[in-house]
Amino acid sequence: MNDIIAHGDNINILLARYGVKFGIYKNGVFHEQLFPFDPIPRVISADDFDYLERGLKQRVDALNLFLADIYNQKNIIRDGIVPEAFVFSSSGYLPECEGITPPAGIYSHISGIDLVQAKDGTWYVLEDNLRIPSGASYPLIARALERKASPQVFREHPVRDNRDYADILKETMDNVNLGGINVILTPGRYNAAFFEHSYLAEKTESVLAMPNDLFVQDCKLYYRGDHGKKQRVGAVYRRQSDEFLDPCTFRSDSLIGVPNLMAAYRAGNVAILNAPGNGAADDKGIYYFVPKMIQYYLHEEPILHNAPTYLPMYEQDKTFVLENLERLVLKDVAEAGGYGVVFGNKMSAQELSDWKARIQREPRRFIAQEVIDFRDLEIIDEGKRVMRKADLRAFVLSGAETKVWASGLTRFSRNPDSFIVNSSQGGGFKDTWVLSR
Amino acid sequence: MRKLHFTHYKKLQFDTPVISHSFSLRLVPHTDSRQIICDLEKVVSPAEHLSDVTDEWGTTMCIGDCYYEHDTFSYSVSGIAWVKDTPYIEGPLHPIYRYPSELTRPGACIEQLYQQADIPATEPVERAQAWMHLICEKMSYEKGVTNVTTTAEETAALGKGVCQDFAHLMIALCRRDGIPARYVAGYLYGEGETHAWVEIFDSNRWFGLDPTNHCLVDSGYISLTNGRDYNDCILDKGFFRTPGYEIRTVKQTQQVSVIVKDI
Repeated sequence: MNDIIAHGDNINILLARYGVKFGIYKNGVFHEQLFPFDPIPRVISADDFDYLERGLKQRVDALNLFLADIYNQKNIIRDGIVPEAFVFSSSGYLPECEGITPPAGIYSHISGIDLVQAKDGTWYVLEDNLRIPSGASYPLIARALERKASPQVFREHPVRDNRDYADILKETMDNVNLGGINVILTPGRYNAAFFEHSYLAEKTESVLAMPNDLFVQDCKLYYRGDHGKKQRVGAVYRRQSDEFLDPCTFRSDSLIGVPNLMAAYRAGNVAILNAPGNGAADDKGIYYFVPKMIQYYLHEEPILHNAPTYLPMYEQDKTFVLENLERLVLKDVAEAGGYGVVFGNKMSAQELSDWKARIQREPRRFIAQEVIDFRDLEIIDEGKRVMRKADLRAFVLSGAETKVWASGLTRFSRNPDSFIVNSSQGGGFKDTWVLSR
Repeated sequence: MRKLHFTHYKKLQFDTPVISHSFSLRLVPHTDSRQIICDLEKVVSPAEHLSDVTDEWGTTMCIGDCYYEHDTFSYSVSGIAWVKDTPYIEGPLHPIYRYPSELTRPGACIEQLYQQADIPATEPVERAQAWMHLICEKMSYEKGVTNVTTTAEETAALGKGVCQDFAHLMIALCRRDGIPARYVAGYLYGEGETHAWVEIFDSNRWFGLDPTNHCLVDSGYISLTNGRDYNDCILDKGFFRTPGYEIRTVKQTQQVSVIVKDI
C-alpha cells in the first residue's frame, strides 16, 4: 500500500492530464477544478460489504416498487403509509409520468446511495440519489492508475476487482434497450460531470450524444450520425435533469432538451435511464419513509439504518426539532449537492430563532436529523497524515437483477471542521477497496 | 344535447425562414360524459412526420416535425360536438389537483382574499360558486395587462386580467379552500378565440364554472384539455432554429380563429 501512497502525486498529475475534473457553478460562472485524489484507500471488509450489499439491494428494490406504485395504483398512499401531500407536492413528482410503466418496470437503474459509518461501526444511509447520481468513474480511473503505479499491491491484497462497472452498466442498458443503440446523453462540456459522461460512454461502447445529436421522428428516438445517417436509439442514459429533458413536455426554455422525447418514451419505443420522475422517491422528506416502504412492499425488516430523522410536518416531531435544533442538522428537502444543509451547533442565537421561525412557517420544507459522529478516515494533507470526515456513495445497478458494485466513491472533506463531503463543495475522493476475504 | 360545429385555425408567420422545427399540439377535443366528438378533421402544415399520442390525462397530442426551410406554420381542426347542457363531467380525481401549482401558488394577496371572505356555504359546489362571485366582484376584464406567465397571485394584486387569469385565481382560491380544482382550455360558443375555465371536484364528479363570464358551464362549452394550470394546457408548442451559424432572433406573428356554431 505504501507504494501507492508514494505515487499519490503522480496519480494526481495523471488524473489532471486525463481531464478528470469536476465543474462547479459559483455565482453563475462555471469553474472547472481537479477532483483531488487521496492515495490512502478506504478499505471495507468482506463481511461489511456483504451486509451493505444485502441492505442496498433491499433498499433500491423497495424504492423501485415505490416509484411504480405512486405513478400507477398509489396503494401506499391509500393504505396511509406515506402521506399524500409528501408525494404530490414534492417538486420531484412529475404528473407527466403518470401511468407510464418503463421497460422492465425499472425506474431507478443507477442508484447512488450515500452512507456513513459511525464511530461504533454502524452504517447509516444518509441519502438516496435516484435521479442522475454521478461519481462512479472516479474510483474506476483511479484504480486503473493505482494498478499501473503498483501492480504488486493488488497481488498481495485480496481487493475485489472494480473494473466490471462498465460491464454491469452496459448490461443494465441492454436489459431495457427497446431496439437500437445505447446512448449516453450529456448536456455538454459545461456540465459538472462531463468527464464522467465521456469516460462511461467509451467504457460501455455507447455513443456519447449532445442533445442536438438526437431527434424524435414518428415517436421513435434517433441519433444523427456522421453524414446524416440516422440510427435508432433503444436506450438513453441521460445525464441531464428531468426539467430540461424535453421542452415540449417540461421547461419550454430548455435548450438542452430533445423535443418530444417523452412522447417516444410514453409510446414504449425508448428506455430512459434513470426514468423521469424519480425525484419523487429521493426527496429528503420521502427518505424518512424508506424503511416503511421496505416493510410494506417486501414484507422484510430493513437491513440498513436511516439516520434518526424528524419531520417537522408531524406536530410531535416539530416540537422536538424546535426544542433541540442546536444539536440537529437541518436539511432543505428541495436542495441537493450539499446545499441547503445547516448545522444547529454552528448557529448564533439569532440564526437559531430565524430558522425556528422558518420551520414554523414551512414545516414541509425541512427535515432534521441527528448529527452522526462518523468515523474519520486518514488522508494525506501536505505530506502529513490527518483525519477527515468521509462518506461512501455506493452504486446499485438494477438490471435483470439488482447488483451492488464492489467499490464506490469515498468522498472526504478537506476542511477539518466540515461535515459536508459533496464534490460540489470542493472535497476530494479516495478509492474504495472491498476485500474479497 | 346541443349539436355544435367547431373550427379552430391558427397560422404562425415567421419573419425569416426556420428549419428543424419540432412541435407538439393539443388540438383534439375528446369524448367524455358531457360531450361527444365526431367528424374530426385536422390539417397541420408543413409537416414531414406526424403522429398521434395520448398524454397522461387522455388528451390526444399530435407530435411532428418539419426539417426543411419554411416561414409559415398552420393547423386547423374541425368537427362536430354533441354537448349536454350540464356543468358536470364524470371522472376520477388525481390528488395533484389539491395542491398549488406553479401559476396558482397563493401569496399574500390571495391569502388576504381568502381570509377576508365570509362564505357560509359548506358544500364544495356552493363554495366554489361563492368564490366565483367574489372574483367577479373584485376583478375586471382587461386585455394586454397580463401575459401567459402571469401568476394567480400577480392577478390578485393587479385586479384585472383575461380568462386565463380569472381561472388561475379561482383555482388558487378553491385549492386554498380545500376544494380540488383544475384548469380547462377549450372553445366557447360565440367566442372568437380559445377560452379557459375551471372545474372543481365534488363527489366523484367535476363541476364546471366560468369565472370570466360569471356563469356555470353549459352546452356552449367544448373542452379540449385540462391540467393543473395553463402550463399543462398549452395547445401548441414548437421548437425550431434558423439555417446557418449566425445567431438570429425570429419574430412571429399569429392569426387565430375559433368558430363554434349551431347546426
